[in-house]
Parts: sequence; structure tokens; C-alpha cells
Amino acid sequence: MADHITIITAGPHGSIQDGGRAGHQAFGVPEGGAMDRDALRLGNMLVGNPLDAAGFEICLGGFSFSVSGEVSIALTGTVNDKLTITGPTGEVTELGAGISYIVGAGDIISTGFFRDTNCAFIAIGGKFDIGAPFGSHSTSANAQMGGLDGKLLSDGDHIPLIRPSQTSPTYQINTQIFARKYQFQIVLGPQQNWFAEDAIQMFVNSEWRLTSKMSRMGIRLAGPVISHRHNADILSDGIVRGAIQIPGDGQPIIMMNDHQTTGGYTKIASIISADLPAFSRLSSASKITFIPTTQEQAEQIARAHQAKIDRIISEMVKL
Amino acid sequence: MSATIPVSEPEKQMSELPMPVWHPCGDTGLLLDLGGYIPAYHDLLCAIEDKSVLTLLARQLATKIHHKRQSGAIHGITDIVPGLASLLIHYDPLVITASQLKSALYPILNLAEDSIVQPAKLWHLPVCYEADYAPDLADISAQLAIPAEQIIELHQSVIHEVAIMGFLPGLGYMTGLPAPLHLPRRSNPRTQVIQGSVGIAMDQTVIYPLDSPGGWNLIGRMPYLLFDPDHEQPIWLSAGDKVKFSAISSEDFQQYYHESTSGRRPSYEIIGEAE
Repeated sequence: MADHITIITAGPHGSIQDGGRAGHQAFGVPEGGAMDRDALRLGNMLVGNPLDAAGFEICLGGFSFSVSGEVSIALTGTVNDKLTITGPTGEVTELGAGISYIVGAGDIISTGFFRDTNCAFIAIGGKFDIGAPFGSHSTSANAQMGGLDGKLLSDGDHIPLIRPSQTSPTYQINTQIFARKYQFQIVLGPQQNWFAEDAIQMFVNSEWRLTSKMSRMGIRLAGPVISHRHNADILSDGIVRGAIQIPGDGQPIIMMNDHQTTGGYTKIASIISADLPAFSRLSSASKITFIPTTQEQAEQIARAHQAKIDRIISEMVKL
Repeated sequence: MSATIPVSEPEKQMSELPMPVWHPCGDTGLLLDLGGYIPAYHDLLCAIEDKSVLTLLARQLATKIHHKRQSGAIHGITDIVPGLASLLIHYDPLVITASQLKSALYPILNLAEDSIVQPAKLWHLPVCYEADYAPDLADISAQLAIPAEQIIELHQSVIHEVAIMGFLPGLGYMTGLPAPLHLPRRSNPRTQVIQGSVGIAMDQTVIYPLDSPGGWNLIGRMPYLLFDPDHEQPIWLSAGDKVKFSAISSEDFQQYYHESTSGRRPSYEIIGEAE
């Protein structure tokens, strides 16, 4: 059998994700891809992959797997959660986030249930030898494509892996970028005119709680009811990742990577792109607030955020 | 061939349209609003008899921007998504800013130039309307007080148009449903609708590309796969396409479905070409 990864326990929500399949939304194809782009890119950097290569996006934890041969791995998207590596003779190694490590046949790599994040990324040195509909391996469970047969990972799955001819050296990065935060910057629009000024003020000034209704399509918030001037219905339009939809019940839904490509409900604002990785790490019941900014400032923040990622990469330490 | 097919003539109404307005969508999107989003414009929009004018305009602008992007004249656009009365341009803020995008696109927003009638595909889609394939037909027949046979006839009597795509890969929202068949979605959506199901609601028809939850009233099933991730071109339906339905038997359904799983696609003709 060719090189592969075997999923021992898939946990409640593990999936194969990469940089996604942007560019086909006019045909109803969701963009998909890892929700935590910072974790995706830094994890891939740690294992010597192209930055948008596929790895495992693990929500909640409870995930374990084995490999058929020498492979570099790294956990990202968390500061304090760890991987546990149990060797063939029972010896146990704890591997913190932001460190690459070489595992081999006979090792079992597992996560506990995460305490520090809702969703983490495990980068795998090499390339999954699986289909790439619209150029991406990303699993979109609702669109039933990508990954293995369009499904979330399940116990016993075998994922064929093409290993690099030479295993990457190991590295360590500063993980502070994965620290939790509870304030998120937003840009009002595109339908802020659908709301009276006091409704917008209430939206901006309230504390919001993440409900347990969360998926890769969207995350529902709970808080005061945000009422519309007239109603929640618009002529359907396109949607960006991070858009904050307010349907008729006045409770916000944040559109995540597998969001539908067009929709007929008002969107009061959008979370800025630099803040979306941190947002994807929040567990249900987390309480958050929003800070309005402008589109122009948000673009500057996106560039500053990229500079920060570049700096983390340039300061990466070879072990 | 094109003589029998009604084609919209948007140029007649262009001068009545409001100026397009840009709206921010975070730092990765710019929505070009063609008239539907500012409450002050609401009355104006309603004064436009046929909202499909805006849908067509959005599509035409999307095509123009797409060409400009392909020619390399503009960088940083990551996706272009036409809506019913708007156009969303996804962009990469590390490559271009919203302000630069607006300047770059300004010249092509000259609506007066948009009088081209684009040729469109007319798909001939078979539908099995037999009871086993149409779980809501009896219900809506009672609800609308129209015999089932007449509902089936009405559904086949017109040319439908894919206004926009969305919800699932390959799902088109098709307008043109005859007025007697307009009804709301089911108050109790199904948790599972079978792939290929043909649903109607409001003034529209949809076909489910995949098994999915859904609330539309199901009147039949279409055998061809709308979304086949293993096919070199996974999706064949596109916004702006026209669709004509024709009834088939359950035997034919099974045969077409079988052929579809090995890559066969429905037939179409090109309509609306310049004479």
C-alpha cells in the first residue's frame, strides 16, 4: 500500500481543508477552505509545504491518527493545546503548538478535547493524493465535495499521502498570534441602510454570545433583537466570508467558509478578514463585542496582519 | 429559430435606472448596488416593472469585469458574483484596495453601452412529474385548486430563465413560473430533499443538485446531474441560461439518470444570436 494516513478516531468534526476554491461562487460553489487561515499557512510553513496545502481542520478535538512512514507534523491555531504522540513501545511525547516534529510508522498522534480553541489545524508534510474538485482538496460537507467523497473524516479512513523525497527539518514559531480575543472589528454594510440608527447602535454596543448553532456554514449569535426598518428580505446578493447576516428574528449569523454564495437576508456588517482566524477559534458560549472601522482601515489592518505573519515566518527558529 | 423566443430589451429602461452605488463588504468585497438597496430607491425600484432588467444588467457587468480581469488589465479580483439587482466583487486587500477597484471599474460602468443582447443557451430538461416523483403535487393541486395535469402543463408551457445561482453548487434560481402556480415555500421544510427534485415557490423553479434540506414544493424530478465533481466541467447550468421542461415517464427517467451518471448531459440550443 502506498503511503497513507489512517484516521483512528475522527472526533466530532474533523475535515480535510486547504486554501479553498475561490473563484466559482457564481456557480453556487462555496469558497470553503480552512477557517483559520493563519493556522493553515503557519502550519504548512512549519512542515515545509506550500502555504495553502491540505491538512486537518479539527473542531473540538478528540482526534487521533497514524502514519505509514516518516512525516513532519505541526499543530497550529492554539497557544496551549497539545498533540500527544505515543510511540510503538508506549513512550509518550507531548508536542506543543507551533512546533514541527517528525513522526513515523507505529506512532499514534492524538489530541485531547481542546481547551484553548474551538478549532485547530494539524499540518502534514507532503501532499494528500486525493481529488481536487475546482482545484481544492477542501471538504465541503453541505456541497458534498472535496476530502474523501465529500464527507467529514470518520474512523478508519485511509488518506493516500505523497511524501516529499526529503523530510523537512523541524522548526518552531511564536504562537502568540493564536491567542484568544473577544473584540472583533467590523465594517458596516452592505445593508446598514436597512436598519435605523438606534438598531445599528444596539448592534455595535451590545455584547454577543456564540450559540451552539455553529458549523462551517455559519455561526449564530444571541443577544438583543436587532430590528429592521421594514423587513429582513432583500433581492438576493453575493456574500463574503465574515458577513453578518440579520434574518427576520433579529439574531446575527456570521457567514463562515462554507456559506451559501448568494442569499436574500440583510447583512448589517462584516468581520474584517484579519480577525476571522481568531473568530473561528471561539467556542460556543464565548462573549464578544464589535468595533466598527472603515473599509480603508480594514484593508490597512489586513496588510499589517500579513506583515505580522511574514515576520513570524522570518523569525521561525530551526530546531 | 430566435424569432419565437422572447428576449429582454434592457436598453429601453436604462435611462430610468438609478446610478449604481458601491457598498463595502468588509475588506474583501465591494457590492455594486444597481438600485435595490437604498430605502430611498425602493419606490424607484418598484417602478421598474421588470426587475429582471437589473438581473440582466448585473450579469452583463459581471461578464465585462470578467473580461477585463482575464485580459490582465486588473489584478486582485478573486471572484465575481452577480445577484438579482447587484454585483459582488470579491477582492484580495493585499493586492488591491476598494478605492483602486472603483477607479479601475469606473469606465465600464457606463450603462448606456450595455445594450448588447447576449446569446443564451436554451436547455431542454426532461422532468418526471409522476406521483412517485412529485410528493407535493397533490397538495398544491388542492391548495391552488388547479388539477395536477394542468399544473404539469403550465410548468412546461413557458421558457424559464436562470436569474442567479446559489445555495448549492449548480443550483439556479429560475424565474418565469406562470402566475397561477405562484405559492409560498412549505411552512414545514423537509430535512431531506432527493437530488434532482424540481421545486416551485414564489415565481421561481429550482432543481436540487444534491440531497439537501429544502422547503420548496416538489412537483417532479429531473434526471441529469446538475453537479458532478468528477466531471471535467462539474457544473453546466449558468446564470442567464433559459430552460424548457418536458414531461417524461419514470422509465425514461431511469434511463436518462443512468446515462447521466456516466457523464451524459441534456441537450441545448443557442438562442438570441444577432441576425
